[in-house]
Amino acid sequence: MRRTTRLLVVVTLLTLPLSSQAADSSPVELTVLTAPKEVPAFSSFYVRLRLVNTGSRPLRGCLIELSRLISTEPCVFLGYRFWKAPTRFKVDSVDPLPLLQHSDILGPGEQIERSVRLVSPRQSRTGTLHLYAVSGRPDALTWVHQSVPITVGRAPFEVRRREIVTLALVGVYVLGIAWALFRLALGLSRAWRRPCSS
Amino acid sequence: MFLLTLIPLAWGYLLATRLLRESQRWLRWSLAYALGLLSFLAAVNALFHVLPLRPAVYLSLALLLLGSALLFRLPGLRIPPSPLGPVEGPVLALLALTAFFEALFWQMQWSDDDYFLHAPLMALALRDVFPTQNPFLPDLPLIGHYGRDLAIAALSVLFGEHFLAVQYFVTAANQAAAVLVVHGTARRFLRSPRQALWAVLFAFAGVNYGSRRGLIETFQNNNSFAFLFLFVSLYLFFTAFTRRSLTVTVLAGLAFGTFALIYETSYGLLAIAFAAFPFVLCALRRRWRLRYFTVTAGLLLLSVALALIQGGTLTELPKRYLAGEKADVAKSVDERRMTHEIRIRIPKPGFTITSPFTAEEYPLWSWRLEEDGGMFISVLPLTALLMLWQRKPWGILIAALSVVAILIPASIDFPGLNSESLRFVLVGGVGAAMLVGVVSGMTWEVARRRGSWTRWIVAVGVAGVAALSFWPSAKFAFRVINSTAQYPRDHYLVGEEWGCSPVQPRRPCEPIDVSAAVALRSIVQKGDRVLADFRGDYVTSVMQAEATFMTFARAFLAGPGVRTLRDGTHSQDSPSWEGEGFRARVFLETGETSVLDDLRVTYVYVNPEKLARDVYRRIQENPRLERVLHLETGDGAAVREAYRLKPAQATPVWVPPQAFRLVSAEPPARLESRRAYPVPLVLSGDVEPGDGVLRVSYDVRFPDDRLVTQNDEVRLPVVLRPTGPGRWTGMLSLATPWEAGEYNVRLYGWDGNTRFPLLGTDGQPAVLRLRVEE
Repeated sequence: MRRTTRLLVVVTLLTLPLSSQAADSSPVELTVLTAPKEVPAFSSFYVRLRLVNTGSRPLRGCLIELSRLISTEPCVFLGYRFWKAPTRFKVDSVDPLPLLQHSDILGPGEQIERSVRLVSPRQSRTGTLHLYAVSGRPDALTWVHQSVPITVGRAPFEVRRREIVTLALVGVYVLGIAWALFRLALGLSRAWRRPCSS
Repeated sequence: MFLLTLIPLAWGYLLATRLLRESQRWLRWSLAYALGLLSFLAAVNALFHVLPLRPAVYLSLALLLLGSALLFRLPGLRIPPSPLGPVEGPVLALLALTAFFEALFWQMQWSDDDYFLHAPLMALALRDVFPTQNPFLPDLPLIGHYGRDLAIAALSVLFGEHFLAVQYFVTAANQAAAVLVVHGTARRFLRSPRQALWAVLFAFAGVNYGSRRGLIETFQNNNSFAFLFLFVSLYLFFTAFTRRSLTVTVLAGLAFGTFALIYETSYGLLAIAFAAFPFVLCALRRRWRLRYFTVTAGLLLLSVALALIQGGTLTELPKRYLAGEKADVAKSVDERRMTHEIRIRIPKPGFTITSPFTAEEYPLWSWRLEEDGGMFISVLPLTALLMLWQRKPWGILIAALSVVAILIPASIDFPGLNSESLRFVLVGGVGAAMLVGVVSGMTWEVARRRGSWTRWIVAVGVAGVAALSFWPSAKFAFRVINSTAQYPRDHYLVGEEWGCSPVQPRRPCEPIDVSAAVALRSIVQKGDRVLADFRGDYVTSVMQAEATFMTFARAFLAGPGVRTLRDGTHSQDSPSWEGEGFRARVFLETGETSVLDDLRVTYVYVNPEKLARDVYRRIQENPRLERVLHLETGDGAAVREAYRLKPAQATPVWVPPQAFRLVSAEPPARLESRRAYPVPLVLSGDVEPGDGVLRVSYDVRFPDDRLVTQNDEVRLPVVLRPTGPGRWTGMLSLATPWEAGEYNVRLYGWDGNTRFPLLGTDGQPAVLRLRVEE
């Protein structure tokens, strides 16, 4: 009995950050309508979402500057993160994307459907894409979570070509610098020796 | 085709060796590149006045080939090339390589600082748009330097018109060439390899001004062209000055004149410094040589003659000055900011410099000058005096250039454009840094002749100053190279892959917009204007998106607004644009096509998801709009469409407005920014309108009567319906401004092409007072 109680306390404490800010009391509902199962690495893809304002106040698009929310009114934005869900629910814990413009308003009971463009990570992997509809006042944001299983495959040809061309150019630079440094060392050693020999 | 670039290079090489008889090998090659590029630009510019760009490019190459054949007949150099020293050579190679690759890698990631203006200009040059027009506001010309954009666009004809990639490599090559030209010129005319090396090091890596760390990081926009050809002009001036050759003077004059097309401010500074130079030199030597004056006067006259006819600011300025106010293109200070029309007032009140980013005025002894131009400006009087005392002509000319560069923005008033002071102050800062470099070299040379203790103390002192000065630029160069090696996928050479690819939450454009723009390129014609829907919350990001679209579609945009700023000086960061003006907003919020005629729109580009459903339906069903492009991603998640606007079939019968009085106009109780609302108008009058339509327009003003945006009056047809005897009602779409606040809206009626104020029942012009909320 004591063990069960302790376990319950631990579970409650662990889930506290999430439950205190989100889920049931959230004024929005986020639904993933379509999402690809597999995407190439470092490429654009779209996820279609439905956002419903289930609250009693209208929502606008959030204004975010340098990972800081500067909107003063209740607003909404989409945050996303690949593979690992954030442990802290802050604006800079996710990559923010606008679902609405600041001048757009989503009234109570209204809904919108939007295709949102994301860019897949650089490395191939299978895992979860975490999507969050973040809404409310800047001092009391609520986070609604949706997860999308996704596989990131190999990068397309043009990405690999770009990588090879860029690295080749870096290689040319490094070789040139190495050659110049070698000549400089030779020149300096000669200049160093000259006063001694005279 | 790209092998044809060897022609200007060969021409430049022959100029450097056969005509200028340059013996320093590195300088010879860098001059070959710079003079080849400059000659190519001069020829293309001359021919572009009468021919389309591509024939102008090929004819220029043919002329340069012919010129090369003639130069080839001249005798070659017999003296052996003077090699670089064992330390000098590698240090110079390190600097030139870093200058080249830092510029290349940075551009591969970010393209340019003012990409939003330069990229569309290059794209429009490939559409044979000449003289340059403002791509965002095609009704306004863009008066100013365009040499850099034209040179890149013309050169790109030989590289499959991939002008962004050409820009990256040309800018990088300019940086490397500038290192070698500065060093070679200083080495020749200072007659000290050590002083020359320090001068170039301080110029490129030692001077930290504004947000830049040395010339090595100052390559964005026109800078790499401006500084390279400033240094080439210095070299040519000295060569003409020291050689008794009419041909060299003519070459120097023509090259210097062409420089006016690249950067008129640096051209003006150099012209003043050149004009003063023979006086200073003769006064110092107490011997008056006529040749100094004839060479200088000949060079300057030739360059001015060329600058007055070739196009750009110095061609337009006297033309409009002679024609008086009537020739003004811009009707307001705000428009003048867009056209870059220059007004000059001497002297500037207060003798202060305008800070570029805050628009505050500061005196010459303020620390702000060191912030904007680098710390070496504070010792400029000392180093300049030292150059005079030591009678170093190269140092004296650089000192004169720096002093003039600092005095000009303090003494000449450029109304509306004073915040461009950085263009002058940068030159002053670089010159001051070079002089400190020369002084460092001189100090080292003096110390070498002294005892070993003195030598060590001086060595440690000079090394300390150098380390402190070079550290920021070395750190930044390392950061750029390191980031390139770490994230090679973020570095693009193909513009179409780069455009809109990185996800930036603020920027409302996606790769599908680039694909659509590329598809539209073959549909739109020269002079077509596209109203593109890139509405977003951040003006700068909207402009970037619009610029990307224009760049790849090679078309003008229609619809942005020019904001009216309060009187006085404004910083470079002042928001002077709006992504969409009132007319564009009315169309995007209502689908009303009559505003498109006033904007002279030929195509409309939309993202259906952004439009309200009824607006999208109106656009689809409008017989005047013909869909010419429908593009969607494979999964159909993103869709873009373009419509051609067909000319109106019939002109409505306009009812004369003079007989009507506005009884009421009731906007909704709550108005939000950046929207359009239907406003019912109630009118009274004795005239029977029948099937006629009243043409109503409005402009939106601040409470102090300033217009919110320039030239953005919304003119709409209002269909009148009778509501009683002598009473009619109609609907007007009222667009709200970008920002919340109090506004006045003035209403007008149109009889043919004549505008009349719409009068209220009291006989006074009708004004709606609005309160717009966030």
